Amino acid sequence: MRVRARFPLAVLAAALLAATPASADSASDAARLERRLDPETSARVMEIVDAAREAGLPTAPLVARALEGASQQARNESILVEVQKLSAALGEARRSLGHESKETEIVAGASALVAGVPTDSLARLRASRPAESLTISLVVLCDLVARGVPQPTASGAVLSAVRAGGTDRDLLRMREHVHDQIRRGAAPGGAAERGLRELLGRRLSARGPAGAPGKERAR
Amino acid sequence: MPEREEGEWLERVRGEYRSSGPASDASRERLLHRLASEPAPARASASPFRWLGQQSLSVQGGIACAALLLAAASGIGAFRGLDLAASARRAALAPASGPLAAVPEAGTVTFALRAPQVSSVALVGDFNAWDPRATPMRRQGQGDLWTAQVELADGLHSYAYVIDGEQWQPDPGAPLSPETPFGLRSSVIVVGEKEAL
Repeated sequence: MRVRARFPLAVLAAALLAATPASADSASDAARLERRLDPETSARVMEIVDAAREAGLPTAPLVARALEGASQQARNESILVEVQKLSAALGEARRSLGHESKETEIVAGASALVAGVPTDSLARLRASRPAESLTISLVVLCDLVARGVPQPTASGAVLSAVRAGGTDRDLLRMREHVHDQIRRGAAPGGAAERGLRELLGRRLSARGPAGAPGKERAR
Repeated sequence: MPEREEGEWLERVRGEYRSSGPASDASRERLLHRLASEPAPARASASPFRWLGQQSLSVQGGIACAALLLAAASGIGAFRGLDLAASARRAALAPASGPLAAVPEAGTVTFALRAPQVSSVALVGDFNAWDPRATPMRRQGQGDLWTAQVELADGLHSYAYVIDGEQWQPDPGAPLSPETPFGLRSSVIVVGEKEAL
C-alpha cells in the first residue's frame, strides 16, 4: 500500500520539478511584459512566448522584440505581428539550420530570414560549415542585406566566403570592407563583390604559392 | 571592367549561391582562383563628406587608444571583452572606425559613441529591456565621446542609442539588425564567439 501511495507522489514531485523552471521563466517574462504593455497585449504576447517555449525555441528574443516595440511606441497590433513573425522565423531557422544548432545560430538565422534571406540559404550555409558556428556568418549576411546589398548577391558572397574556408574574422573584415565602401558612396552590390574578392584574394595570398592548386585550371 | 564582364562575375557569385552541396577542397580552390583572378568591377561615386556625423567608437578597433586612455584615466582596471591586442591590430588595418561586432566572452562590455553637439545619449537594448532610462551614457570630459558599460551574457544582443531622449539610432559601425515595422533600426553584437576574435 505504501509503495502504491508513494508512486503518484513521486510522479507529481518529478512533474513539479520539471515544470518549475519553465513556469518561473514564464512568470518572469510575463512580469517584464506587464510593466511595459497593456494587460491584453501582454497576455497575447505571452501566448506566443509560451507556445515557442513548448516548441523548444528561444523565447528571450520574443520578449525583447515586444519590449523593443514598446520602447519605440509601436502600436499593440504591430508588436503582436512582429513577435509572431519572429517566432515563426525562429522555427524556420531551426528547421533550416538543424535541430542541433546553437541558440545564437537560431536567433541569427531568424534575423536573416526576417531580413529577407530565404531558408535555403541557411541550409546551404549549414551544409558548407556543418561543424562550426554560423552565428557570425548569419550576422554578416543579415547586415549586408540590411545595408542594401541585393539578397542573392549577399547570400552568394557569404556562401562563397564560407565555402572558400573564410573564418569568422575574415567575414567580419569583409563586412567592414563592404560597409566602408557603401559609406563612401559605392553601390551596395558592387561593394559586396569587392569585399568578397578582397577576402578571396587574402586567403590565396596567405596560402602562398605552395598552397595553390597548380594543376587545376581556374575554370 | 566592362559592364558585361562585371555582370558575368556577379552571375558567378550568384551561381555559387544557387549551387548545392558542401564544398570540397578542389572546388574551394577552383572558386578561390576563379573569383580572385578576375579584376574587380570599377564603380564608385564616393562622396567625401559621408563620413561626417556621429561616428561609432565602440570598444573594438579604432578606439583602442581611446579605450586605453580612458581605462588609465578613470581607473577602470579591465575592459572585459576588450581584446586590446586584437584592437590594436584591427586599428592598423581599419583606422577609420572600430566597429563592435563581437566580443569573445561574457562580461562587461564598453559601448562608446562619438556624438557631437548633443545633450544626452542613452544605451538601449535587449539587456536592459530597451528602457531609455536604464543606461544613460556618460560624456567623457567636455568632448563628444559618450560611453557606457553593461554586463552582457553569451549570445546575440540587439542595441541602439537614443540621442537627446528621442532620436533612436543604430551603432554607426556595428552590424545592423533587420528593419522592423516599428520603423527604427538597431545594431547587433555577438558575445561568446571566441573564434571570431
